[in-house]
Amino acid sequence: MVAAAAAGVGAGGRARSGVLFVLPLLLVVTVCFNAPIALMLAWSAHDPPFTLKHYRELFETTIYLRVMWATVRISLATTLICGVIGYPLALWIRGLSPNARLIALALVVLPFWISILVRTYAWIVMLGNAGIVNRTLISLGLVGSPLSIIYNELGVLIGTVNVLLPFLVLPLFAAMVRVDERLLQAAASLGAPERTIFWRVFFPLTLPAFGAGLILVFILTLGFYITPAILGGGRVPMISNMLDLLINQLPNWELAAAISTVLLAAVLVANAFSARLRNRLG
Amino acid sequence: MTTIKLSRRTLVRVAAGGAAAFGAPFVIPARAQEMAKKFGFGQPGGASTEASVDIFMKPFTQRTGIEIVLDVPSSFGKLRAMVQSGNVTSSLWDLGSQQIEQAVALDMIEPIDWDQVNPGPMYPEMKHQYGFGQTYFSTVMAWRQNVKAPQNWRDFWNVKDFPGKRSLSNFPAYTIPAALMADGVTADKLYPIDLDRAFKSLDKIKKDVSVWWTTGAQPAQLLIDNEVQYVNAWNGRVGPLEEQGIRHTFNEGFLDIAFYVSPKGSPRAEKRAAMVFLRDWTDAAKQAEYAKRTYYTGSSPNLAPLLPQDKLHVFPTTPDNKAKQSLPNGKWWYDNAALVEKRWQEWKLSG
Repeated sequence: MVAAAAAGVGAGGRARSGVLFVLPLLLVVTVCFNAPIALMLAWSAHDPPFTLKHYRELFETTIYLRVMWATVRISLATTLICGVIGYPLALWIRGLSPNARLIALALVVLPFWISILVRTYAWIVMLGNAGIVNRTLISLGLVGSPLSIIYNELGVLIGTVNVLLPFLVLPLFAAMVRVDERLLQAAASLGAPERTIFWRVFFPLTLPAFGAGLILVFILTLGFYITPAILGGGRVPMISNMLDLLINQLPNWELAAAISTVLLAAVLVANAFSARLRNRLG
Repeated sequence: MTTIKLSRRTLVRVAAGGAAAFGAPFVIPARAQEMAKKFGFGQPGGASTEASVDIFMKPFTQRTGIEIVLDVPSSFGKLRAMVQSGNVTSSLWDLGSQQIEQAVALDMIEPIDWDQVNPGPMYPEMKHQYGFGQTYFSTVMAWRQNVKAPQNWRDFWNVKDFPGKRSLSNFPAYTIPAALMADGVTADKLYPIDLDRAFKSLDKIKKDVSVWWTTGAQPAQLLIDNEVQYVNAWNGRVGPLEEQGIRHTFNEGFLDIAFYVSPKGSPRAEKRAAMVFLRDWTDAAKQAEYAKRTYYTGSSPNLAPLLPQDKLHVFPTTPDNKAKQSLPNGKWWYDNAALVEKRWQEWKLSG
């Protein structure tokens, strides 16, 4: 919003009318979205006079920090796996013929059209004790008893990676397609071997999109609710599930607001980091 | 799907209703016994809400012309937000027995107007100052018929003689009493809860619990999928699964009450209409119909003869079944909610 308005400033008179066009939306977003969030966050320092006791409780009770750390750990693992799978996948799609690209991209986008809840339950049918994978493994005699694939951290990771992979692959693919083919040809004509071309020319050009995609995946994983609730079997606590508990069960909205504030701060830091990365590399 | 459709449609109607109600007091001063032509109702959604719509709400609207506007789902957080906003669009809200004390402490609900309700015969524990006891539900043990049937929580905890994976509720209030009874505490000695003893007992079964369930549908599905073989679950979820080979017993079950409460500050004329509606809920014949669909039984002591006599064992409050169970101490859970939840989370994270 603000960036869009600021971007127009250079254009003089047009910018002012641009701001006018944007103003109603800006107002709606501020009143209907930002203001309630700010009020909600204010709960964290409210008792009714100003207080920091909810933050003290947050940092003194190891349980909340442990859940936050577990959330960060799962988010980092999801980000890493998405990176390791996503980059080669995007690269492979880039190398396909136009028609094959369309099919490959459709397959990547397809999960977007299916409710996250349905997809999560689908994993149970696939990976549960009586699921397709375990039944096949047992009937082939590869394992004696069913493998525990879900209802643990592995299950949560499978769920988060499945949901978030497109968020990395799509922008990354778009950036890869934009890379000027002539740069690669120039490097080749100067005698650089394939590996060098990739690492010295191609990879750096796609790094900003790759980094931005990874940070997006990280931030989105921090807020996951359904996937850990179902595929974690209640054994992999993540911050959103803790918030649900504090809001709907206990109810301790003040502490929930404090945790949300800390989470928001973490996301803002990650976001600022991503912006700096873009500026430096882009 | 139904839930979402229901809530979208009703949200709009609630918004419209709320606007009308907001203006009303300034236009016509309400007469003492005047009743609104509609009132809002916070409901959990799902099969039980569908049954109450068919059996209670639609006939009530047909008879009186008073429209009931659903607000789905009826979470505690939503109720609190509604009351705090000062725009109270629902005159009735679905709440568990353990949350009534919290709601009273937070000044979110007001007493039921029992004179206005003028109820039929009800079990005394269903008539709370702040809550109208809608139905009984029970947290029971259930298992697949191809495994050895447990008789009590001690058997359920005995993984050596009753081998198989377990799933237990992730709500400590439903699981901790079972842990204590497995350790030899009798139902009448459960309160005040000895938390140290409960967690020691839970330690013994922890590694055999595959899933800590958070929604009522989970334990039933886990049994059907043969993902686990023993669960604790709400009777309305496992009762309908007898034909699919799922068994349960009310022996050492934990009976509980689902209440309807009155959110603080709802328009008076709407509350009056809501109280009159509650009277229908004490009708034993309607309760029997509701129980046939949901396996949750109502407040009437005269209900048992109206239930299908060949299936009496699946209803939580037939005299036989009621005697095998105990009721929770809502006050204890309210006083200790934060402590229990903290210890519960810490215990689950440890080891």
